[in-house]
Amino acid sequence: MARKDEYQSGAPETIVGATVKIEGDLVSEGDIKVDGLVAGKIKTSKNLFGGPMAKIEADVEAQNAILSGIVKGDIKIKDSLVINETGKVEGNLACARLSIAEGAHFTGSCTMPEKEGDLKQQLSENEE
Amino acid sequence: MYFYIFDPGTDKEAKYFEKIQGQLLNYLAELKVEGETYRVTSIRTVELLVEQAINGEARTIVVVGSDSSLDRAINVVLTKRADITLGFIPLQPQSSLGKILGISTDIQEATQTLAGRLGKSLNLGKINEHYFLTQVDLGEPLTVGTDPGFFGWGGVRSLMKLSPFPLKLSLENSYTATSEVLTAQIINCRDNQGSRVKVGDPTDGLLDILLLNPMSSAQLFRHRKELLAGKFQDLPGSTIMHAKKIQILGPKKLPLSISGQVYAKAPAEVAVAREKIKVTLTLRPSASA
Repeated sequence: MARKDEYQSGAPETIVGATVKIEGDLVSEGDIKVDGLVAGKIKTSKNLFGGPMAKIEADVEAQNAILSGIVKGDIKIKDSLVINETGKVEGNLACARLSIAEGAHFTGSCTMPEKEGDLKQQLSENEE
Repeated sequence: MYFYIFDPGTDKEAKYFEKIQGQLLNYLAELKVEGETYRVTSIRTVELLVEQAINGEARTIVVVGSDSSLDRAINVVLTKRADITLGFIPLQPQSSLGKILGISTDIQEATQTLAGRLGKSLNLGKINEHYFLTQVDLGEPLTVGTDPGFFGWGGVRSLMKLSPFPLKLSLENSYTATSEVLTAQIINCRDNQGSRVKVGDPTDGLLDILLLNPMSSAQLFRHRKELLAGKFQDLPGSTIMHAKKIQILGPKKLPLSISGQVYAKAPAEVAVAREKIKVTLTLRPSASA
């Protein structure tokens, strides 16, 4: 029988393939990788990876995120947000650390706390 | 008390089975795990014998037979809500349940596993009123485990005959997923031997959903090994999702099968069952690596 430690760290990874369209609230306790289309909301306590072909029309909450595709919606990241050169983001950002590669598109406002803990507290308050 | 149900199936020659049965009874006696033994016949079915064992206050029922025999026994135990531990001694060389539970098809090793009395509660999936330990195939199931023929051509030809269909699922009543797929699986538990990505943990309380995208002939040939083993999770671009409750919304009349037998047609619901099953198994790494 498969041992527990053979599975990905903690909860298993969700992968949304390029041909898949998701509508609604995609909530997970594990990493989420999106290569298709998601409309609604994405929430994970782990990491979000948006591939170059991803089209996310959703509000996003995650611990960390690396975005290489299109995202339309508000993004709240507790730790690190990376927008790669193929990324196109339209929406308001809140994160502790931000990296935007040359060539990436970003339209919206960005909130970054002076101390890392401030954002986590702010996000926790919003959740409550 | 141990209660052994011997199921020779339909394709076993009587002499061959009696030889195995004789060997097995010797091993059971050596390891001091002998008990009452009953043989399945056309009149005394697996279901009847399991009911008889439950009424006889058996604590452990050991199924000696095929995956189908164990599957039938599981369903009776759960339907009767009996507090029973199930053991399994597989007789098929390609027993997938044997591999999942880490039980060898070598009778002596299987008996040692049984004597080890390592019991574990496992989650089950439920489709309509039928419980399953392994997986549900959505649409035409791939001919997993069959001889792919010379250089895999036979297997690829059967894969090329599959027609893509538009699948629509609702997960956890929270979101819908739609996609054109060649086939799809809902997995509770599976043998992950040789897979990079492990799916089907029967202790996490979740079912894993695998969707296989339409592929070109060249892609089908390149990935024939993974496809014919039913391990879509290793293929680039496959979709993996997890849920406790999945509604298969369409296409209508899509067949949902377990081990090749159709148990329902869409629209239907597949969910993690509230009940668990206690089984004896081995946790040898070779069984799952």
